[in-house]
Amino acid sequence: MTRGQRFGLLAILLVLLSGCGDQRAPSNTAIVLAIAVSARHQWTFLFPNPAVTVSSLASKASGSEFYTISVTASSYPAALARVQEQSARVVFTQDVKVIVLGAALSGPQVAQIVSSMTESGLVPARAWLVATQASPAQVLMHYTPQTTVPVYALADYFDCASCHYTDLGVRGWQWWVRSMTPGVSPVLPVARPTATGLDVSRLLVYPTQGRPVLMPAPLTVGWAYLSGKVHEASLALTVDGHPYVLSSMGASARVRCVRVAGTVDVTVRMQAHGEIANSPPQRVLLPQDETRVEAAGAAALAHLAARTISWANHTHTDPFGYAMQASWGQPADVALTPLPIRARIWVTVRVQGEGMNR
Amino acid sequence: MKREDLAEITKKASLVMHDIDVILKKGDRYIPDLSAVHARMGDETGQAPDLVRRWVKVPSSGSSMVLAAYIQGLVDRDVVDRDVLAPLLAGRSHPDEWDQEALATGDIQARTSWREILHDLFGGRLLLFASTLPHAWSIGVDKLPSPSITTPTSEQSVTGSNEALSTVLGTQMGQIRRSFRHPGLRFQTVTLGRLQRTSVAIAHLDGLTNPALLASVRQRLERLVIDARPNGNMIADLIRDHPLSIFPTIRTSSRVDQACLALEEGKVLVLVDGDPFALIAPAPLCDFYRTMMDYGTPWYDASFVRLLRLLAWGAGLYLPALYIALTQVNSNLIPSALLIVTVGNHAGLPFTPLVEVVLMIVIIETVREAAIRLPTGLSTTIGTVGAIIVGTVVVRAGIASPQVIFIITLTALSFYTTPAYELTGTWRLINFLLLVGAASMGIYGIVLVTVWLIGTLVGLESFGVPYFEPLAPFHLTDWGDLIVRLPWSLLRNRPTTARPSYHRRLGPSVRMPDPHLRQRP
Repeated sequence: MTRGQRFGLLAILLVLLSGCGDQRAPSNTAIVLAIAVSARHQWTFLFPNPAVTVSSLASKASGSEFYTISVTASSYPAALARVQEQSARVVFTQDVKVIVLGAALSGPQVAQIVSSMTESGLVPARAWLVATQASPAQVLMHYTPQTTVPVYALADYFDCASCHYTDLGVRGWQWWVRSMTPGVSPVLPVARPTATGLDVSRLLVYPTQGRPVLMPAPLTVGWAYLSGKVHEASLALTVDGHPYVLSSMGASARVRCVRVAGTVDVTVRMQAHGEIANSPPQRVLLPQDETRVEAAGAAALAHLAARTISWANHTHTDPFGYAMQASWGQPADVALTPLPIRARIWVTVRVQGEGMNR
Repeated sequence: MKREDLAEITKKASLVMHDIDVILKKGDRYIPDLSAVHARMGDETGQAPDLVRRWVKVPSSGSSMVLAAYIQGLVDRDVVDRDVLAPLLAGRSHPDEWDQEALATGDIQARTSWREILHDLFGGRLLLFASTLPHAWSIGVDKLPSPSITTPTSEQSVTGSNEALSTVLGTQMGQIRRSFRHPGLRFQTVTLGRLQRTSVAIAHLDGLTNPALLASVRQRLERLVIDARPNGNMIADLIRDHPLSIFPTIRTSSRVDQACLALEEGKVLVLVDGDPFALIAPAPLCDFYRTMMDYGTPWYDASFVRLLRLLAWGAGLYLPALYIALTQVNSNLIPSALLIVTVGNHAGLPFTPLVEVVLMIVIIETVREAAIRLPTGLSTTIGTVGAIIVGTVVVRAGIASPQVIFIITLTALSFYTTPAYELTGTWRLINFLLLVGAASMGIYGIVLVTVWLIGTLVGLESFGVPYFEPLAPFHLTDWGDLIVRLPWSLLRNRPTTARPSYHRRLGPSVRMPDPHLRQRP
């Protein structure tokens, strides 16, 4: 082979092996920002309006920034094919931010949807998963004045983890890992559209079998404390008949799990901290007052944690993954998730000094 | 043998005999037959109207006349009259002793060949012929133009002398000599051009400059055979390494201080008569990014500007290509918010981003070229108005998106942060190559072109010095004056680029005396 032939072959291989031949320019693509799936196999794809520019935002009517295409299909590939049929541009799913799932979908159904999306390789596994008891398509198009194109409100809500006092966001890959791991019940945040925004204060817990269970809002906070997903929370207390509020609460929990005779024996040592944001008027806080507030806070948190674990036992779920931790390194010879949890909880609260009344 | 062949041979033989006769009559050796000299000078110059041949009756020559010849316009008439003819007419010294007694000019040489005589005649010298002299006197009376010392047009500096080299070789040498005032500064002259005779001087510092480098430059200049020399760039192009490469391997500068700095680093200067730009050799790539302002400002400021220059170079070279790659091929690498804005900006536009970028580059280059050609007063106006109007109208007409305007504007500005103008064109060409790579293969194409670029730069040389030095080969000692400029106290050695005879530039570190207020009585 001559030098010229070798150079030509190299040049051809360099071009052919680049894999860039099937790429499309953005002007020929329809970018999918979110997908909603209902229990009735209704798939809704959300697209940004391509005519929206930064300069034209002021003149655009609210709601016209996005548009949707809805199809009915039994699987994700079929849904994508039908959406593509209705679209003049190439449907581009590599920027999907949020997948909204109907609350009526069972755990195996959600697993199948997530698996088919991730296996296609065209939907990013980092997309947020959200459950809703309302219509998923309605949540998808829910408008809030707080954000505007090019930011998508629902994705923005979960992207800002430190904006909310409980970090409930679950990415696609996280749900997939938990659903495939014995001894842990995967959870999804539940979004409820309100007049001014979104209410995301509860979790949907997916048991191994059966329908998902909705965790009450107070217990969702308990779950967040036990899972170390609390930022800047607040806790209302009554000490000696006086109202107090602990704010800027944060907590971390050290958990030791052991499987003992068909149960999961859990020892939780939670350390929380916060600041006294609201104290009785005309009262100078003394160190002994702070100690009493700390004790009351610890008791309240311990009670909340105990209620949350009790709820998990009652619903035969383990949203904490305690059974998984107890069985780490052991063969999964029994179904782990229904194992009852027996917990001993120690909580300490430290009041951090701040303010003029100290 | 045929009769025709015999006739042909006879004819050729007669021509050869004629040539021999001419050579014998017009031999190169000077013979003091003044009438023949007078006639031959007319013949050799084609009876040039500006050739002045004057018969002078000099007392020291007795009854015979003396012939003076010069080219009007090349000589200083006052010097001829005052310092040559007047002393001759008044003096009584023998023609053999004119160089010692009669003539008041400093530069007098004897010439015995017609080649030298004619060369001196057209070099602006006065020739004196006497029948009793076996040679001709060649007297330096040439009129040197006295151009004003100006500021460099393309290498402005806020600090420093801002003195530009003159267009006259003698003045150039004087400017450099005045900066050094050291006997080690040497000039070697070479005359180039068969038709347009041009003096070229090679400057170096004896004892510092590597002799091999000096010999290399001299050899290359001496081997040049050219008829005419339009400018120094032609000579630079002919003597540099890799003449087909788009990367300049020899640097030009019109700044006196830049030329002196190059000499002080052990480099060689080539000064071309008629061109105010000195050629500096060797010139690796990094040298093109050093300006005199880097050495005239504090080290932190110079370092910051150099980092900014590096950033601008990166932006200028890669920004359009990255834009094309990310908007046409690898759109999955853009954050979705930016992607949506990009799509929105492109809605309704008829061209692809590649076409938009190429169109804008053509427009920008056209405006730039027009601004250069126009008179200074107009060029500023045309440049500004052109940029504003074109930028606005192109967006409104739906030819290019605002993002493309932003990117091309930033690119154009970034290119001109390159201190050396000759490198600006090179990066513009590389930019086009990157655009092609990006449009066809996206980020992968940009990587491929970059790999080729690095390979090319590593393979180049400038007068034996690796072009990509000190990056590759890696010379840590030269990094103190590369991306940043360290304080002078840490830059005690000169760069190794020119392989000078010794590297120490500053003396040993000494402790400065305490301020007077702290000194004890």
